Amino acid sequence: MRILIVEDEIRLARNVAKALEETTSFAVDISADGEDGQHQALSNPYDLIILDLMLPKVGGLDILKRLRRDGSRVPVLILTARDTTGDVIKGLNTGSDDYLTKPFDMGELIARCQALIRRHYDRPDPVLKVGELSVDTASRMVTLKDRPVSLPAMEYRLLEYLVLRAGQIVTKEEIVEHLYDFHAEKFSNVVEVYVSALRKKLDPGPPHRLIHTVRGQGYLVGDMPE
Amino acid sequence: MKPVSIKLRLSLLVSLLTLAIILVVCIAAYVETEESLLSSVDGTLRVTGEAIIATLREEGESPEARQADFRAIMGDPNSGGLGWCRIWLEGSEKDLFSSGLPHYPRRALWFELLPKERPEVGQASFFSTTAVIDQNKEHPFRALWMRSVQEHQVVNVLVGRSSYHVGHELAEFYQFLLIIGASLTLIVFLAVPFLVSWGLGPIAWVSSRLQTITHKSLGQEVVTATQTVPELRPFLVALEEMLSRLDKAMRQQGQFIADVAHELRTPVAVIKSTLQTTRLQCRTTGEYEHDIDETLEDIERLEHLIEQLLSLARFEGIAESSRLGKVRLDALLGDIVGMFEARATQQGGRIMLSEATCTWVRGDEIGLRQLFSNLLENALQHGPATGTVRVTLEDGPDEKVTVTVHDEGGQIPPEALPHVFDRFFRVDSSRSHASGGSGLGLAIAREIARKHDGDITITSDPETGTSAIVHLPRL
Repeated sequence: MRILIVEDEIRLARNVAKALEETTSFAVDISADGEDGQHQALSNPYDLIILDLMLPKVGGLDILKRLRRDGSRVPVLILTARDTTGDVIKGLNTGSDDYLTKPFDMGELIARCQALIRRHYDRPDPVLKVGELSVDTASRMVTLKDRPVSLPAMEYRLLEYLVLRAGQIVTKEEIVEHLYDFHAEKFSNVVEVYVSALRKKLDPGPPHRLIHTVRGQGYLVGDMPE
Repeated sequence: MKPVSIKLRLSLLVSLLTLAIILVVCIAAYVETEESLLSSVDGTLRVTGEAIIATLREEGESPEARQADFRAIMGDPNSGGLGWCRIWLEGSEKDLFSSGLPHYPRRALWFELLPKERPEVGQASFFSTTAVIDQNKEHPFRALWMRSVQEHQVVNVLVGRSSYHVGHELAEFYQFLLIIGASLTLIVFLAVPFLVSWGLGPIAWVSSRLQTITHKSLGQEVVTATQTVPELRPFLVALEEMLSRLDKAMRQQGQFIADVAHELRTPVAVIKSTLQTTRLQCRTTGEYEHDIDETLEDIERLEHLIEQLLSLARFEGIAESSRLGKVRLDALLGDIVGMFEARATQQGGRIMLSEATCTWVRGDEIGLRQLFSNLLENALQHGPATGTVRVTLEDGPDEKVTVTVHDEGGQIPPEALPHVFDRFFRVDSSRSHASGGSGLGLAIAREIARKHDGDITITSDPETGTSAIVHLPRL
């Protein structure tokens, strides 16, 4: 999952990013002003945007309006010090999915972010199941046939994304765009390395494969559609 | 004492006024009627009297014929009612003629009924009198006394008529007036409150309209709507203007409180997020130290903000020109420049204070110190680090002294200049956050300058730099 934090209070943004990276498998980008934030939000396929309202150059609500006008479906969580009911209503009516006021609890913010992403992928259950594989997105526990499997961070991040999109073909470009933040070195062959590592640990082998390769298109987790 | 309502006042006023009018009209009608009744009696008396005088003037008539003429003029006393007559020569005890009032003693007619002042010779005078006729009943009379000269002798002619019917008719008219007056009074007392209520209707409407105004709907109130009477319009227009001013002030206050909340919450949110993130897992000593230092920095920022807010509140609270004393401005500036010199040198820049003559202003020393500290703070923060900040003190214009704090920076864009004195306004938000500016420094400075009957302006030009110019009234 890749998320964007648009927040002019750099220290706060860094803290949120750090907390998200340590407790979830999200790749986090930070933008410190409205103009840059709007540009980033429009040009990258984020899974969630955490948006401050009072931003230099371009206001948070203007960014949100622009995103929705352009047809973006990205979940947006407004994180602001503006706390009146009127502000909350205005924020939600402009097109945000959630509203949290500062000062906030970090645990709550993380839980809300995860909930928003689950809804976005239409997966209300935080425990994702494909066949005998089970991925608990809240605690990042992976079990196969009720046996826990330990995965490195990047492998878990890839698995979570593929399982969230189970039943769909996921292209390599999508994987790269959703798993790496702006600053990461992006090589698409890295994806293949991680996929083969996951297969080694999780795939029961033919004829029942967990991760299918769809030639020329990408990967698919779960049963191949007929 | 409870104030008397306008309705009651107006009702009383209108009622009393109407009563007074009724009273005056009644009295006038009574007097007029009395006069007209008397004048008709007087007319008859005058005609009778003149006829008698004319008879007296007829020459060559025997006394018997005259008596017959007089009798003919007066009519039969037994059937002619209540007329009576006396004619006598001045000085003579004997009457030339007398008729009427058969039961009345002569002396009484002679002495008791006559008024004290007799009319001039050739003149006539009317008078009213009463005579006791029968059963000691008083009877009103109207009489005419004429004196004329006949054959070198003064002849007195006294003609009288009963004026009983006048009194009777007047009494009837009086009763009529009493009944009409009383009924009119009753009607007035009953009707006036309703009329006054109707008249005060627009005021009642306005007051019930005003009761629906709440602090939330202040700005959108249109109280001068259709149904207002022209007299109330100026009042309502003024009221509407006052409401919109009030609304603006409340909005500004609300905005300020929202801004304060925002400004206070942000550092708290940063501190909380730092500590919560730190607590997520075990860290190295170095990481802990780093996080604690960051937290302390944020707390300092919060402290500074609270300090600034308090001083803003303090200077807003000072009543105009209270606590103002004599302040030697040149010495004060020297003092403040001295305090900032170390910081400027540390940055690699310097502060220069121009030579100034001894200048006294009327002011609050703490306030002025804060004002110029804020300006120097800004100059050091926003000017180039190694630049020179120049502070000059000059006389004029118009009884004012001018202090200019100039730095070599010039990055305030023209569109931002009108807003630099707004609370929490920052030209570059993220940059100032990092440098600890609260966005209140200039707002406080202007508040102080205005409390001193002075003002402050800012000019900024990329080539010449930024100047803050303070005008204060000279002592």
